[in-house]
Amino acid sequence: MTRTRWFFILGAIVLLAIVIRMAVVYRQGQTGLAEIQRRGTLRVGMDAAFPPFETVDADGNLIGLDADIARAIAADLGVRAEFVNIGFDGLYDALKIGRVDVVVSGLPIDPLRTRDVSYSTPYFNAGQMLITTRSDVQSVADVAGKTVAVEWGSMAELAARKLKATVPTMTISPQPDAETALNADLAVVDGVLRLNRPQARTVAVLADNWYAAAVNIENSALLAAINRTLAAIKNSQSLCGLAVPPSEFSHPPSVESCYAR
Amino acid sequence: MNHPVFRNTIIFLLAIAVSAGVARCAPMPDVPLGPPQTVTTINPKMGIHTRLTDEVEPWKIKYTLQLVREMGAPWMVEYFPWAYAEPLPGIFDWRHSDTVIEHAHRQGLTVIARLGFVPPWARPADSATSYLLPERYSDFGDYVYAFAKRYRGKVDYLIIWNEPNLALEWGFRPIDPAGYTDLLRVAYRRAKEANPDVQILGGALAPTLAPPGDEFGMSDTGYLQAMLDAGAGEVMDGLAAHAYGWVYPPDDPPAPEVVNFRRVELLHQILAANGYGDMPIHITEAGWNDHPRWTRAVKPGQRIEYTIRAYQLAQQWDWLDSVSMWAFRYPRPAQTYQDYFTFVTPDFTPKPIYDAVKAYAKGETQ
Repeated sequence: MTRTRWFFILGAIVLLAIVIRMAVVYRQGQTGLAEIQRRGTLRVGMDAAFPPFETVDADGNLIGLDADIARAIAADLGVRAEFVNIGFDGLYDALKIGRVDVVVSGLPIDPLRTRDVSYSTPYFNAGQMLITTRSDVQSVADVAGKTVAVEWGSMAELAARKLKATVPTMTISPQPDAETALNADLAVVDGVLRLNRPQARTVAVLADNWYAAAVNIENSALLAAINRTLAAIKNSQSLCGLAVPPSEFSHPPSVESCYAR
Repeated sequence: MNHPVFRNTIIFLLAIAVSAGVARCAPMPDVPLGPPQTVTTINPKMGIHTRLTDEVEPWKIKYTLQLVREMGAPWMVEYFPWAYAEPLPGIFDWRHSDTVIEHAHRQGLTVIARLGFVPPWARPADSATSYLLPERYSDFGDYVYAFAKRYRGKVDYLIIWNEPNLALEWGFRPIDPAGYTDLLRVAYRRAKEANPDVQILGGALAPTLAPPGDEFGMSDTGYLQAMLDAGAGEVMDGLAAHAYGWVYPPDDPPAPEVVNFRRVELLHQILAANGYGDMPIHITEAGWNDHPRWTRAVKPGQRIEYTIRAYQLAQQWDWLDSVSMWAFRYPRPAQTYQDYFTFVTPDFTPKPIYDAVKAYAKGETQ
């Protein structure tokens, strides 16, 4: 047999192995979604103690942005959302052992988890942001010579300190609680708190902290379905518009207020 | 496969392989120790629990300890897992612990070393890393001996085990104060053989209100009394205690049914009632958390106030030698509430609490 023929056979074997592997991966990715549809429910893990993202109302119903997102995902899959209320620190374990199909729970993206889980398109930035009601603050540079309120000791204060390193003439005014800082005319607050001040304008996001849904890394078909739903939500702003990144807050206050605490 | 001769042969061959590997491994990159430093503080009881176990970069180890010194905390608690130091019986790898201890010593810090974490060779397959049967206590004793001997003059405080009043920390076996006391006895004897000056701290109990018979835990007060009944008072030089404040301010009065910072006073009372009122206590874990969505957290400003107040309270207690807050820094974000216990971020950005405590230690604030 000639050397060329050996190369041809070897190449064919390698190609076949790649195709088989891709088929196996694809099948694994489809299995999770098929199981959900066979079962008729999407099991959603969340820690329902984080309004306005997820909480339990007086009638025992799960409500909030994440609950609505989960219901929308389930509806697009043609199944019913089944909520599994789990403590925040147990959410990843629940996903890993298959107790839930997806976690939608104000979950910050953790790059070091991506060996085990896949994250959806991020849908909310809970990071630190500079907000204002003042007309003379249009950019970060405009805080020069002005006083910026923060909650004393918080991550917002940390972000403000970093900002001050670039704008030394700004003054940081630590406040005893987050609500007091939020009501100042110029403040650094996190994206969740910021929801309670819709009349303020976001000047800049100083530190990102994106929330996303998480699925088992093998569940690629479910991940694709979730991303399709999130894209549709973002385009329609059908869920009070919170799927729009806070840096693009442009939707009506009445929409924001539906999730305000 | 389970025949002792076969198993011992395998262990012997593995030992040769590992020792050859350890010998061939390059030492951790040198980071100059720098000149000897001293800690300047108005409160010599201040401490902090570092978390360098998983920090692999020597410059970060050094910088962490430098920041601790600059914060004004003379005491530090660090964990030195047995499994890391002795991967196979009698085969030791001290590179990481050498780096931590040499830098800590050079920064003028007093190290309290916590020893635990059972290596796979000393426990059954698939058992927890806190699972150690009595017939293996002597193996742990050998590690304690080797550690105490190696770091004589640089580490004079050893905590034996961690939170043994929790099933999680006792190999998921029935909680056993007398069994823990037996372990403490072995560790005490072996440590003193290596370094008569070393101080053995027992306990490190988890503050818990678990009812009698609970499968997951035993109350710290009940456990301490049972330890003392089993003779623990004679095989420890001090008591390590954990004193988390949860949502309560540090001045919140102690009570058997409350877990708060001053609960440690109950432990002192138990020691005193058993004739050990002079036995010093070291709080080796304490603090408050300011996670925005954890039910046991406080506001960030409260966390600062409470922490400084706790350091002040420690000065008033003559039976307490040190109080170390949990935790200085994690090598990477935990992405859980745990991140909100720390004083500096993984990238070494000091949080406001770090600056506030530093100012307190300098006497700049009350």
